Amino acid sequence: MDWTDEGILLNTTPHGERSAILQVFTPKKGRHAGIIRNAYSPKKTSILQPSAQLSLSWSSRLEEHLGNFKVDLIRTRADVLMANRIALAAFNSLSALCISILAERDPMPDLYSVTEQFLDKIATQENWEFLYLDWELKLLSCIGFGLELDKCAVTGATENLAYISPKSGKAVCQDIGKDYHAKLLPFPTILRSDRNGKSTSLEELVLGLDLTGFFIEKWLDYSVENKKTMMIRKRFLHSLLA
Amino acid sequence: MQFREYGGDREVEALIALMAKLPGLGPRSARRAVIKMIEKRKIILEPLAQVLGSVSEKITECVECGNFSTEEICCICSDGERQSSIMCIVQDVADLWAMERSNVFKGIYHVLGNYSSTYSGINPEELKVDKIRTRLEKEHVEEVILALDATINGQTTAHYLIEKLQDTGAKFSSLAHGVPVGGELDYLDDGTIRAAFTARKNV
Repeated sequence: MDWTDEGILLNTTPHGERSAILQVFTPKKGRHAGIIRNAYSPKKTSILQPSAQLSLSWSSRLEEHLGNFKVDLIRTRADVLMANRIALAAFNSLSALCISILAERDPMPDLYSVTEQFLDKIATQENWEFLYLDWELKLLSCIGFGLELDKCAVTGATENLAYISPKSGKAVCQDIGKDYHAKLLPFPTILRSDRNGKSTSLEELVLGLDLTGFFIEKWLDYSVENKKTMMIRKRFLHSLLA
Repeated sequence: MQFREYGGDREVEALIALMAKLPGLGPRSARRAVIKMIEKRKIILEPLAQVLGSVSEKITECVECGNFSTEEICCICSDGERQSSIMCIVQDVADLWAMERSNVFKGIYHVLGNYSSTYSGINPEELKVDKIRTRLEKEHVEEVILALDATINGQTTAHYLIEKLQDTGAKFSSLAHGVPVGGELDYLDDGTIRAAFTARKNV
């Protein structure tokens, strides 16, 4: 078995003295792991920095084996991330969520495309932080728990959306939701479609991320690893306001 | 390892098996090293056994910085001529020794002993943040140099430490990233060139 693709390096874990296990996110194969030999040579360590865009060749005798990677660098993002603590925290959160949530070898080309664009825009776009919220919404959507924020789940109204159901992740309008105020989640301003291009603050972004975080935590199985993932994500939110 | 695989006896095979666990040595190279030691018994094996026994008996972590030492406080921390107002934080003892080899730093050190990871996160207890804080206050440290790896994990740790220790009032600095001595631009990756270009200086 073998395939070639490109992908984003999410994480490297030492394996023995010289090898490492790579976790990569690819468009055709989804999240995929594999061993790379001689990973700690001076030449390879600069290539194998998480966030790097890699050209990947994977081979194995059987498809279910872990397999071996051969990699080549397409472009690195580590220098941009290392120079910006918020960007670094955002990438750490993104990679931890991908590893915790995405099923291995399940192709998600749409999410891959959004992820690649987001990581590239960190270097080129101002206020890239707001795109992270779009990324988490896309992540929830791709794993089948997308939020429906465009209309009221009860009346179908598209205006005065004030709440979100913690059970279904669907929007609820003010008139229907006011009787269940204590049970429903507030609709974050940053997610309103009727904002008419008004500028948003980092505080509003964090409120939006609190909402996506609620649903991510809800659908994430409880485990020590997933608890760590949520801590890494929390550090990103903390860095936004620090 | 199967005993008598190489025609040796149990003790020798056990020695080969232990040597093979060292970094850079496999069973084959460990066997060659053991044979050489036995052949040079008087000048290698016996002194080595003596030194190993002595080091094993005395070696410990310095209670102040975490360096390896045969005393409770290592020679760097007990050296009164070093500037205690500047502290260099390194990941492990190998990094501390590398800094000392360069003979460029005359302050005190602190060995973290661990790193954060992009996936497994940061365990503040492993990073001994409270111990660093105590030392910064005790030694009245004015500058902290974060001599951590120029990797995603190294810099995540650096940002974490700055965040946790910035209320101590110390100034934080980190090592520069860029073209290594003897490095040729043609062989450098684009990230290193960008970092070097951004950190360019007037000449």
